[in-house]
Amino acid sequence: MILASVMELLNNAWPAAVLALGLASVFALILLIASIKLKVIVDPKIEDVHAALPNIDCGACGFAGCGSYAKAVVADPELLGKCAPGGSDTSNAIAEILNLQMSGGGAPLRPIIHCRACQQDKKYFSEYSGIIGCTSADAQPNVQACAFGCLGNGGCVRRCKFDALHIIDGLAVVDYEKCTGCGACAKGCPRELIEMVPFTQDIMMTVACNSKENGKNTRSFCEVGCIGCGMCSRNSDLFTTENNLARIDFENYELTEEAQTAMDKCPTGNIVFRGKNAPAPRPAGQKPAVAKKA
Amino acid sequence: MSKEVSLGKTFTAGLWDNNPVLRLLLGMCPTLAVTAAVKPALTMGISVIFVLLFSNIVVSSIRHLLKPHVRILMFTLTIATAVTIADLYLKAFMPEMSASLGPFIPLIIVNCIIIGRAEACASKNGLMVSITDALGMGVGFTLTLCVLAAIREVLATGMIFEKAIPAFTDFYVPWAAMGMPVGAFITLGLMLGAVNMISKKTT
Repeated sequence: MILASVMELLNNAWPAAVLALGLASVFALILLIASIKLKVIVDPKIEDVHAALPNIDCGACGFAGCGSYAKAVVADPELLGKCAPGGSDTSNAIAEILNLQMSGGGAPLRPIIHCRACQQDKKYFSEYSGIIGCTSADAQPNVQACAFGCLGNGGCVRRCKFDALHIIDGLAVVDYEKCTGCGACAKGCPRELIEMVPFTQDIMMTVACNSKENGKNTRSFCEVGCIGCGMCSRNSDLFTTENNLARIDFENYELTEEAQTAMDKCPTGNIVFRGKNAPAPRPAGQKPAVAKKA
Repeated sequence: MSKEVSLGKTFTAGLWDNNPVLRLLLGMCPTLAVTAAVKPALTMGISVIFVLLFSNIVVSSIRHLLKPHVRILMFTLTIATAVTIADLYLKAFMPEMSASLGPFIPLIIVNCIIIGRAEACASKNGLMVSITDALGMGVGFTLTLCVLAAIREVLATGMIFEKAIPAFTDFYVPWAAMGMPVGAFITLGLMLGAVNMISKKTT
Protein backbone atom coordinates (compact mmCIF):
# COMPACT_ATOMS: atom_id res chain seq x y z
CA MET A 1 0.00 0.00 0.00
CA ILE A 2 2.51 2.53 1.21
CA LEU A 3 5.06 1.29 -1.26
CA ALA A 4 2.58 1.66 -4.10
CA SER A 5 1.74 5.23 -3.21
CA VAL A 6 5.42 6.07 -2.82
CA MET A 7 6.09 4.59 -6.27
CA GLU A 8 3.23 6.59 -7.71
CA LEU A 9 4.56 9.74 -6.12
CA LEU A 10 8.00 9.10 -7.54
CA ASN A 11 6.58 8.40 -10.99
CA ASN A 12 4.72 11.69 -10.96
CA ALA A 13 7.48 13.68 -9.39
CA TRP A 14 10.39 12.84 -11.60
CA PRO A 15 9.53 15.14 -14.54
CA ALA A 16 9.22 18.06 -12.15
CA ALA A 17 12.44 17.09 -10.43
CA VAL A 18 14.27 16.81 -13.75
CA LEU A 19 12.92 20.20 -14.81
CA ALA A 20 13.92 21.79 -11.51
CA LEU A 21 17.41 20.31 -11.66
CA GLY A 22 17.86 21.24 -15.29
CA LEU A 23 16.68 24.79 -14.80
CA ALA A 24 18.77 25.14 -11.66
CA SER A 25 21.92 23.95 -13.38
CA VAL A 26 21.36 26.28 -16.35
CA PHE A 27 20.86 29.18 -13.94
CA ALA A 28 23.89 28.16 -11.93
CA LEU A 29 25.94 28.31 -15.10
CA ILE A 30 24.54 31.75 -15.99
CA LEU A 31 25.26 33.03 -12.49
CA LEU A 32 28.75 31.60 -12.59
CA ILE A 33 29.50 33.49 -15.79
CA ALA A 34 27.87 36.65 -14.39
CA SER A 35 29.86 36.48 -11.17
CA ILE A 36 33.12 36.17 -13.13
CA LYS A 37 32.28 38.88 -15.67
CA LEU A 38 30.84 41.29 -13.09
CA LYS A 39 33.31 40.64 -10.33
CA VAL A 40 33.99 43.62 -8.10
CA ILE A 41 37.47 43.60 -6.67
CA VAL A 42 37.32 44.75 -3.09
CA ASP A 43 40.39 46.57 -1.85
CA PRO A 44 42.16 43.81 0.11
CA LYS A 45 43.22 46.41 2.65
CA ILE A 46 39.62 46.80 3.78
CA GLU A 47 39.43 43.12 4.66
CA ASP A 48 42.80 43.24 6.41
CA VAL A 49 41.75 46.26 8.45
CA HIS A 50 38.46 44.58 9.28
CA ALA A 51 40.35 41.55 10.51
CA ALA A 52 42.55 43.75 12.69
CA LEU A 53 39.54 45.34 14.39
CA PRO A 54 38.04 43.75 17.49
CA ASN A 55 34.90 42.84 15.47
CA ILE A 56 32.46 43.57 18.27
CA ASP A 57 30.46 46.21 16.35
CA CYS A 58 30.11 48.39 19.43
CA GLY A 59 29.75 51.64 17.50
CA ALA A 60 32.17 53.63 19.65
CA CYS A 61 33.95 54.91 16.51
CA GLY A 62 30.74 56.53 15.26
CA PHE A 63 30.21 54.07 12.42
CA ALA A 64 27.58 51.37 12.19
CA GLY A 65 30.03 48.57 12.85
CA CYS A 66 33.56 47.33 12.35
CA GLY A 67 32.93 46.72 8.64
CA SER A 68 31.92 50.29 7.87
CA TYR A 69 34.71 51.70 10.04
CA ALA A 70 37.23 49.57 8.12
CA LYS A 71 35.92 50.97 4.82
CA ALA A 72 36.01 54.53 6.15
CA VAL A 73 39.48 54.32 7.62
CA VAL A 74 40.96 52.91 4.41
CA ALA A 75 39.38 55.78 2.47
CA ASP A 76 40.39 58.42 4.99
CA PRO A 77 43.38 57.62 7.25
CA GLU A 78 42.54 60.68 9.37
CA LEU A 79 39.97 58.48 11.08
CA LEU A 80 42.67 56.28 12.56
CA GLY A 81 42.48 55.89 16.31
CA LYS A 82 38.71 55.98 16.66
CA CYS A 83 38.49 52.39 17.83
CA ALA A 84 38.10 52.68 21.57
CA PRO A 85 37.96 48.96 22.45
CA GLY A 86 41.07 48.23 20.37
CA GLY A 87 43.05 51.16 21.67
CA SER A 88 46.57 51.81 20.49
CA ASP A 89 47.29 48.18 19.55
CA THR A 90 44.56 48.19 16.92
CA SER A 91 45.55 51.62 15.68
CA ASN A 92 49.14 50.43 15.27
CA ALA A 93 47.98 47.36 13.36
CA ILE A 94 45.82 49.45 11.03
CA ALA A 95 48.62 51.96 10.51
CA GLU A 96 50.88 49.08 9.49
CA ILE A 97 48.35 47.75 6.97
CA LEU A 98 47.87 51.21 5.49
CA ASN A 99 51.60 51.95 5.50
CA LEU A 100 51.17 55.01 7.64
CA GLN A 101 53.37 56.54 10.22
CA MET A 102 51.49 55.77 13.41
CA SER A 103 49.30 58.62 14.50
CA GLY A 104 46.36 58.94 16.83
CA GLY A 105 45.03 56.43 19.30
CA GLY A 106 46.24 56.88 22.83
CA ALA A 107 45.64 54.72 25.83
CA PRO A 108 42.42 52.69 25.76
CA LEU A 109 39.43 54.46 27.24
CA ARG A 110 37.68 52.85 30.14
CA PRO A 111 34.70 54.08 32.10
CA ILE A 112 34.96 55.18 35.69
CA ILE A 113 31.88 55.74 37.79
CA HIS A 114 31.99 58.86 39.90
CA CYS A 115 30.12 57.34 42.81
CA ARG A 116 30.91 54.73 45.42
CA ALA A 117 27.82 54.91 47.61
CA CYS A 118 26.25 51.51 48.19
CA GLN A 119 22.72 51.03 49.43
CA GLN A 120 23.60 51.47 53.10
CA ASP A 121 25.76 54.54 52.50
CA LYS A 122 23.12 56.79 51.01
CA LYS A 123 19.95 58.24 52.40
CA TYR A 124 16.59 57.57 50.78
CA PHE A 125 13.43 59.56 51.40
CA SER A 126 11.21 56.81 50.07
CA GLU A 127 11.30 53.67 48.02
CA TYR A 128 11.26 54.05 44.27
CA SER A 129 8.70 51.83 42.60
CA GLY A 130 8.24 53.42 39.21
CA ILE A 131 9.35 52.34 35.77
CA ILE A 132 12.65 50.48 35.94
CA GLY A 133 15.29 52.73 34.50
CA CYS A 134 17.56 55.52 35.60
CA THR A 135 15.97 58.25 33.50
CA SER A 136 12.57 57.84 35.13
CA ALA A 137 14.12 57.34 38.57
CA ASP A 138 16.10 60.54 38.04
CA ALA A 139 12.87 62.41 37.37
CA GLN A 140 11.60 61.57 40.87
CA PRO A 141 13.21 64.10 43.20
CA ASN A 142 11.96 62.69 46.49
CA VAL A 143 13.42 59.21 46.40
CA GLN A 144 17.16 59.42 46.73
CA ALA A 145 18.53 62.29 48.79
CA CYS A 146 21.67 62.66 46.68
CA ALA A 147 20.82 64.38 43.43
CA PHE A 148 24.21 63.50 41.92
CA GLY A 149 24.98 59.89 42.79
CA CYS A 150 24.28 56.54 41.20
CA LEU A 151 20.61 55.62 41.13
CA GLY A 152 21.32 51.92 40.91
CA ASN A 153 18.58 51.30 38.38
CA GLY A 154 20.93 49.90 35.80
CA GLY A 155 20.55 52.16 32.78
CA CYS A 156 24.22 51.60 32.07
CA VAL A 157 23.94 47.86 32.68
CA ARG A 158 21.29 47.51 30.00
CA ARG A 159 23.44 49.50 27.58
CA CYS A 160 26.45 47.27 28.08
CA LYS A 161 26.79 44.63 25.37
CA PHE A 162 29.65 42.86 27.09
CA ASP A 163 28.22 42.03 30.52
CA ALA A 164 30.87 44.29 32.01
CA LEU A 165 28.59 46.33 34.29
CA HIS A 166 26.58 45.14 37.24
CA ILE A 167 24.52 46.74 39.95
CA ILE A 168 26.09 45.51 43.16
CA ASP A 169 24.41 46.63 46.34
CA GLY A 170 22.69 49.59 44.69
CA LEU A 171 25.76 50.79 42.85
CA ALA A 172 26.93 50.30 39.28
CA VAL A 173 30.29 48.55 39.22
CA VAL A 174 32.47 48.09 36.15
CA ASP A 175 34.04 44.73 35.48
CA TYR A 176 37.28 45.90 33.90
CA GLU A 177 38.15 42.36 32.79
CA LYS A 178 35.24 42.36 30.37
CA CYS A 179 35.02 46.06 29.55
CA THR A 180 35.96 47.02 25.99
CA GLY A 181 35.68 50.77 26.47
CA CYS A 182 33.00 51.32 23.86
CA GLY A 183 31.43 54.09 25.94
CA ALA A 184 27.83 52.92 25.56
CA CYS A 185 27.29 53.04 29.32
CA ALA A 186 28.35 56.69 29.59
CA LYS A 187 25.49 57.58 27.24
CA GLY A 188 23.03 55.64 29.37
CA CYS A 189 23.55 57.57 32.59
CA PRO A 190 21.13 60.48 33.05
CA ARG A 191 23.38 61.91 35.77
CA GLU A 192 26.51 61.74 33.64
CA LEU A 193 28.34 59.83 36.35
CA ILE A 194 30.34 57.74 33.95
CA GLU A 195 33.43 59.31 32.47
CA MET A 196 35.53 57.68 29.76
CA VAL A 197 39.09 57.99 30.97
CA PRO A 198 42.31 57.09 29.14
CA PHE A 199 43.74 54.27 31.23
CA THR A 200 47.44 54.95 30.92
CA GLN A 201 47.95 52.38 33.65
CA ASP A 202 46.04 49.26 34.55
CA ILE A 203 44.82 50.80 37.79
CA MET A 204 43.82 54.43 37.91
CA MET A 205 43.20 56.67 40.88
CA THR A 206 39.81 58.36 40.71
CA VAL A 207 37.50 60.49 42.82
CA ALA A 208 34.39 58.43 43.29
CA CYS A 209 31.85 61.15 43.90
CA ASN A 210 29.88 63.59 41.80
CA SER A 211 28.15 65.66 44.51
CA LYS A 212 28.44 69.40 44.06
CA GLU A 213 26.65 70.10 47.35
CA ASN A 214 28.68 71.61 50.14
CA GLY A 215 30.33 69.39 52.68
CA LYS A 216 27.61 69.62 55.30
CA ASN A 217 24.84 68.71 52.89
CA THR A 218 26.82 65.91 51.30
CA ARG A 219 27.56 64.46 54.76
CA SER A 220 23.87 64.63 55.58
CA PHE A 221 22.87 62.22 52.85
CA CYS A 222 25.94 60.18 52.07
CA GLU A 223 28.49 58.42 54.20
CA VAL A 224 31.15 58.33 51.54
CA GLY A 225 30.64 61.47 49.46
CA CYS A 226 33.27 64.06 48.66
CA ILE A 227 32.89 67.02 50.98
CA GLY A 228 35.12 69.31 48.99
CA CYS A 229 37.54 69.92 51.83
CA GLY A 230 40.45 70.38 49.43
CA MET A 231 42.79 68.14 51.35
CA CYS A 232 43.84 66.32 48.21
CA SER A 233 44.46 69.39 46.08
CA ARG A 234 46.62 70.84 48.87
CA ASN A 235 48.70 67.68 48.89
CA SER A 236 49.06 66.99 45.19
CA ASP A 237 48.87 68.92 41.93
CA LEU A 238 46.98 66.02 40.39
CA PHE A 239 43.83 67.12 42.15
CA THR A 240 41.66 70.21 41.79
CA THR A 241 38.75 71.08 44.03
CA GLU A 242 35.97 73.06 42.45
CA ASN A 243 32.28 73.38 43.32
CA ASN A 244 32.83 71.36 46.51
CA LEU A 245 34.13 68.46 44.46
CA ALA A 246 37.60 67.06 43.93
CA ARG A 247 38.65 65.98 40.44
CA ILE A 248 41.71 64.34 38.96
CA ASP A 249 43.49 65.76 35.94
CA PHE A 250 43.53 62.65 33.75
CA GLU A 251 45.38 64.41 30.95
CA ASN A 252 48.51 64.60 33.08
CA TYR A 253 47.89 61.53 35.15
CA GLU A 254 50.86 60.22 37.04
CA LEU A 255 50.76 58.27 40.26
CA THR A 256 53.10 60.32 42.41
CA GLU A 257 53.87 59.93 46.08
CA GLU A 258 51.93 63.11 46.77
CA ALA A 259 48.88 61.65 45.12
CA GLN A 260 49.23 58.58 47.32
CA THR A 261 49.45 60.84 50.38
CA ALA A 262 46.35 62.71 49.25
CA MET A 263 44.55 59.43 48.89
CA ASP A 264 45.56 58.31 52.38
CA LYS A 265 44.55 61.61 53.90
CA CYS A 266 41.12 61.92 52.28
CA PRO A 267 38.72 62.13 55.22
CA THR A 268 35.92 60.26 53.45
CA GLY A 269 38.07 57.75 51.63
CA ASN A 270 36.66 58.99 48.36
CA ILE A 271 39.84 58.67 46.35
CA VAL A 272 39.89 55.10 45.15
CA PHE A 273 41.62 52.90 42.62
CA ARG A 274 39.66 51.62 39.64
CA GLY A 275 40.79 49.07 37.10
CA LYS A 276 41.61 45.40 36.79
CA ASN A 277 42.23 43.89 40.22
CA ALA A 278 42.13 47.29 41.88
CA PRO A 279 42.63 47.22 45.66
CA ALA A 280 39.40 47.55 47.61
CA PRO A 281 38.60 51.07 48.78
CA ARG A 282 38.65 52.02 52.40
CA PRO A 283 35.32 51.01 53.96
CA ALA A 284 32.79 53.72 54.66
CA GLY A 285 33.13 55.49 57.98
CA GLN A 286 36.68 54.34 58.63
CA LYS A 287 38.93 57.19 59.60
CA PRO A 288 42.04 57.71 57.50
CA ALA A 289 45.18 56.21 58.88
CA VAL A 290 46.86 58.85 60.98
CA ALA A 291 49.20 60.68 58.68
CA LYS A 292 52.72 60.48 59.86
CA LYS A 293 54.34 63.80 60.37
CA ALA A 294 57.27 64.08 58.06
CA MET B 1 -6.90 36.05 -21.54
CA SER B 2 -8.14 34.54 -24.75
CA LYS B 3 -5.91 32.82 -27.26
CA GLU B 4 -6.07 35.71 -29.68
CA VAL B 5 -4.47 38.57 -27.85
CA SER B 6 -3.37 41.69 -29.61
CA LEU B 7 0.17 42.61 -28.77
CA GLY B 8 -0.58 46.32 -28.80
CA LYS B 9 -3.37 45.92 -26.29
CA THR B 10 -1.17 43.77 -24.06
CA PHE B 11 1.44 46.49 -24.06
CA THR B 12 -0.91 49.37 -23.34
CA ALA B 13 -2.67 47.37 -20.61
CA GLY B 14 0.55 47.57 -18.61
CA LEU B 15 0.76 51.29 -19.11
CA TRP B 16 -2.70 52.25 -18.00
CA ASP B 17 -5.54 49.69 -17.56
CA ASN B 18 -3.45 47.28 -15.53
CA ASN B 19 -0.72 49.66 -14.42
CA PRO B 20 1.10 47.71 -11.70
CA VAL B 21 1.40 50.59 -9.28
CA LEU B 22 -1.67 52.70 -9.91
CA ARG B 23 -4.26 50.05 -10.75
CA LEU B 24 -3.02 46.74 -9.33
CA LEU B 25 -1.23 48.31 -6.35
CA LEU B 26 1.58 45.78 -6.61
CA GLY B 27 5.22 46.40 -5.80
CA MET B 28 4.52 49.09 -3.23
CA CYS B 29 7.81 48.55 -1.42
CA PRO B 30 10.13 49.98 -4.11
CA THR B 31 7.45 52.48 -5.10
CA LEU B 32 7.56 54.07 -1.70
CA ALA B 33 11.20 53.49 -0.88
CA VAL B 34 13.27 54.55 -3.89
CA THR B 35 11.26 57.44 -5.28
CA ALA B 36 12.90 60.28 -3.40
CA ALA B 37 14.76 61.20 -6.60
CA VAL B 38 14.34 60.34 -10.27
CA LYS B 39 17.71 58.65 -10.75
CA PRO B 40 17.25 55.76 -8.31
CA ALA B 41 13.64 55.39 -9.43
CA LEU B 42 14.76 55.04 -13.04
CA THR B 43 17.46 52.53 -12.06
CA MET B 44 14.95 50.52 -10.10
CA GLY B 45 12.47 50.64 -13.00
CA ILE B 46 15.02 49.43 -15.52
CA SER B 47 16.13 46.62 -13.19
CA VAL B 48 12.50 45.56 -12.84
CA ILE B 49 12.03 45.62 -16.63
CA PHE B 50 15.07 43.37 -17.00
CA VAL B 51 13.95 40.93 -14.33
CA LEU B 52 10.39 40.87 -15.63
CA LEU B 53 11.58 40.23 -19.19
CA PHE B 54 13.95 37.46 -18.09
CA SER B 55 11.39 35.71 -15.92
CA ASN B 56 8.57 36.03 -18.45
CA ILE B 57 10.74 34.64 -21.26
CA VAL B 58 11.93 31.67 -19.20
CA VAL B 59 8.55 30.90 -17.66
CA SER B 60 6.76 31.21 -20.98
CA SER B 61 9.18 28.88 -22.74
CA ILE B 62 8.92 26.17 -20.07
CA ARG B 63 5.19 26.61 -19.42
CA HIS B 64 4.26 23.21 -20.91
CA LEU B 65 6.72 21.40 -18.69
CA LEU B 66 5.59 23.11 -15.48
CA LYS B 67 3.81 21.03 -12.89
CA PRO B 68 1.10 23.17 -11.26
CA HIS B 69 2.10 22.33 -7.69
CA VAL B 70 5.77 23.24 -8.06
CA ARG B 71 5.37 26.19 -10.40
CA ILE B 72 5.96 28.85 -7.73
CA LEU B 73 9.28 27.20 -6.94
CA MET B 74 10.29 27.49 -10.58
CA PHE B 75 9.17 31.12 -10.77
CA THR B 76 11.13 32.08 -7.69
CA LEU B 77 14.22 30.28 -8.95
CA THR B 78 14.03 32.16 -12.24
CA ILE B 79 13.39 35.54 -10.62
CA ALA B 80 16.16 35.07 -8.08
CA THR B 81 18.64 34.33 -10.86
CA ALA B 82 17.66 37.45 -12.79
CA VAL B 83 17.77 39.64 -9.70
CA THR B 84 21.20 38.34 -8.76
CA ILE B 85 22.49 39.23 -12.23
CA ALA B 86 20.94 42.72 -12.00
CA ASP B 87 22.42 43.21 -8.54
CA LEU B 88 25.88 42.09 -9.65
CA TYR B 89 25.67 44.38 -12.67
CA LEU B 90 24.74 47.41 -10.60
CA LYS B 91 27.49 46.65 -8.08
CA ALA B 92 30.04 46.40 -10.86
CA PHE B 93 29.08 49.36 -13.01
CA MET B 94 27.09 51.72 -10.77
CA PRO B 95 28.54 51.19 -7.28
CA GLU B 96 27.18 54.45 -5.87
CA MET B 97 23.68 53.79 -7.14
CA SER B 98 23.91 50.23 -5.82
CA ALA B 99 24.90 51.53 -2.38
CA SER B 100 22.07 54.05 -2.30
CA LEU B 101 19.46 51.54 -3.42
CA GLY B 102 20.75 49.19 -0.75
CA PRO B 103 18.60 46.12 -0.20
CA PHE B 104 15.86 47.19 -2.57
CA ILE B 105 17.45 45.60 -5.64
CA PRO B 106 17.69 42.15 -3.99
CA LEU B 107 14.13 42.74 -2.76
CA ILE B 108 12.89 42.66 -6.37
CA ILE B 109 12.86 38.88 -5.80
CA VAL B 110 9.75 39.29 -3.69
CA ASN B 111 8.20 41.99 -5.84
CA CYS B 112 4.62 40.93 -6.50
CA ILE B 113 4.50 42.29 -10.04
CA ILE B 114 7.07 39.83 -11.31
CA ILE B 115 5.69 36.69 -9.75
CA GLY B 116 2.20 38.00 -10.54
CA ARG B 117 3.00 38.36 -14.24
CA ALA B 118 4.68 34.95 -14.33
CA GLU B 119 1.55 33.42 -12.83
CA ALA B 120 -1.10 35.43 -14.67
CA CYS B 121 0.47 35.87 -18.08
CA ALA B 122 3.71 34.03 -18.86
CA SER B 123 2.61 30.59 -17.65
CA LYS B 124 -0.48 30.77 -19.86
CA ASN B 125 0.68 32.61 -22.99
CA GLY B 126 3.21 32.29 -25.77
CA LEU B 127 6.59 33.86 -25.96
CA MET B 128 5.67 36.99 -27.92
CA VAL B 129 2.72 37.84 -25.72
CA SER B 130 4.81 37.29 -22.60
CA ILE B 131 7.59 39.55 -23.83
CA THR B 132 5.13 42.29 -24.78
CA ASP B 133 3.41 41.93 -21.44
CA ALA B 134 6.72 42.16 -19.59
CA LEU B 135 7.71 45.28 -21.50
CA GLY B 136 4.29 46.89 -20.99
CA MET B 137 4.19 46.14 -17.30
CA GLY B 138 7.83 47.12 -16.82
CA VAL B 139 7.52 50.39 -18.70
CA GLY B 140 4.28 51.18 -16.86
CA PHE B 141 6.00 50.54 -13.54
CA THR B 142 9.05 52.60 -14.52
CA LEU B 143 6.99 55.54 -15.80
CA THR B 144 4.84 55.62 -12.68
CA LEU B 145 7.90 55.49 -10.46
CA CYS B 146 9.56 58.27 -12.43
CA VAL B 147 6.49 60.52 -12.30
CA LEU B 148 6.17 59.94 -8.56
CA ALA B 149 9.89 60.53 -8.07
CA ALA B 150 9.88 63.65 -10.25
CA ILE B 151 7.05 65.20 -8.23
CA ARG B 152 8.81 64.40 -4.98
CA GLU B 153 12.28 65.48 -6.09
CA VAL B 154 11.06 68.82 -7.44
CA LEU B 155 9.01 69.57 -4.34
CA ALA B 156 11.65 68.36 -1.89
CA THR B 157 14.73 69.97 -3.41
CA GLY B 158 13.68 72.21 -6.30
CA MET B 159 15.91 70.09 -8.53
CA ILE B 160 15.38 67.43 -11.15
CA PHE B 161 17.97 64.76 -11.99
CA GLU B 162 20.04 66.44 -9.26
CA LYS B 163 20.22 69.62 -11.37
CA ALA B 164 18.68 72.90 -10.29
CA ILE B 165 15.71 74.09 -12.29
CA PRO B 166 16.52 77.68 -13.34
CA ALA B 167 13.05 79.08 -12.75
CA PHE B 168 12.87 77.49 -9.31
CA THR B 169 16.08 78.67 -7.73
CA ASP B 170 15.09 82.21 -6.77
CA PHE B 171 12.00 81.79 -4.69
CA TYR B 172 11.59 78.08 -3.98
CA VAL B 173 11.81 76.93 -0.39
CA PRO B 174 12.55 73.20 -0.32
CA TRP B 175 9.74 71.13 1.15
CA ALA B 176 11.85 68.58 3.00
CA ALA B 177 8.93 66.36 4.01
CA MET B 178 8.41 65.35 0.38
CA GLY B 179 11.84 63.74 0.34
CA MET B 180 10.94 61.60 3.34
CA PRO B 181 8.64 58.55 3.50
CA VAL B 182 5.73 60.85 4.37
CA GLY B 183 6.07 62.51 0.98
CA ALA B 184 5.94 59.14 -0.76
CA PHE B 185 2.67 58.21 0.90
CA ILE B 186 1.07 61.60 0.26
CA THR B 187 2.13 61.75 -3.40
CA LEU B 188 1.14 58.16 -4.09
CA GLY B 189 -2.25 58.70 -2.44
CA LEU B 190 -2.95 61.80 -4.50
CA MET B 191 -1.84 60.05 -7.69
CA LEU B 192 -4.12 57.08 -6.97
CA GLY B 193 -6.99 59.47 -6.33
CA ALA B 194 -6.36 61.29 -9.57
CA VAL B 195 -6.19 58.03 -11.54
CA ASN B 196 -9.44 56.81 -9.97
CA MET B 197 -11.11 60.10 -10.85
CA ILE B 198 -9.98 59.94 -14.47
CA SER B 199 -11.01 56.32 -14.91
CA LYS B 200 -14.43 56.99 -13.36
CA LYS B 201 -15.07 59.71 -15.90
CA THR B 202 -14.08 57.60 -18.89
CA THR B 203 -16.20 54.55 -18.02
